[in-house]
Amino acid sequence: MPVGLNFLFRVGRKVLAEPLEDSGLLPGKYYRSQALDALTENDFPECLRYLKMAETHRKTQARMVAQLLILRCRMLLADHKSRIKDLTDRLGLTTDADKVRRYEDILTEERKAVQLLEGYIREAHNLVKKSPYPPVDHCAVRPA
Amino acid sequence: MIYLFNGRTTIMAKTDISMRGALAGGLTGLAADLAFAELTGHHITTGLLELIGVGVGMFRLDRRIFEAIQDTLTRAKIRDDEDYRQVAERIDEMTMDLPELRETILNLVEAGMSAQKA
Repeated sequence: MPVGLNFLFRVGRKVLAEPLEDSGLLPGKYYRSQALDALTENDFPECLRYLKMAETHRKTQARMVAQLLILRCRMLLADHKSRIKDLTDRLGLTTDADKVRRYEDILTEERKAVQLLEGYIREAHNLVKKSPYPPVDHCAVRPA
Repeated sequence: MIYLFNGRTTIMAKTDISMRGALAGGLTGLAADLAFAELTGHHITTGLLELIGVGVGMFRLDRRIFEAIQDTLTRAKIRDDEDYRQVAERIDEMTMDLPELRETILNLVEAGMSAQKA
């Protein structure tokens, strides 16, 4: 009996889990828990994906996870920016063509990382600040 | 064996525990799990543990968030001998616009200082 139930659970999870998760029908606590799991594993895009479905602006736990995500991204951002500064300084000092090319390659990757992290921070900020009520379009309700 | 359940006394038959039976049951379960995994590619125990893990994780969310904050502060350490107060001062600027997290970190630092004094 338990074997059958577990098999059904596994198959059901494989087939239904992702569409069900994406529908946002599962309890908010599930999404908050999964967002925290993703954050623990440094999977920032996945964390943001779950936070979008976790009513982040309304729930304290979700806001905490989002703020923690912002802090972690900022810490990483500081590291990357310091590396960029260090590499730029080195580029100014070296004349060796091989080294210059290598430094420039690393700089490109570092800048990409900075852009990604800034994007995550912006998205998380929007989730924390998002108003629970949609903005009223005053022009639409103004009498003619 | 006598149990008091919902204010009523219930008498149950004495249970005999058989080590041989337990061993046979365990081995049968293991064999069934292995055979099932071989035949279908599904791991029953992993699935069950996953389900239990998600369930427990959902109930311990506050505790896990607190642990994640501690972990973040530990990651922010530059030197091993730094304490949370020094780390919190260093990342102060990064938490200016994160009021709830800032307050929790402050509480954590205060708790650490109280523990040190005690």
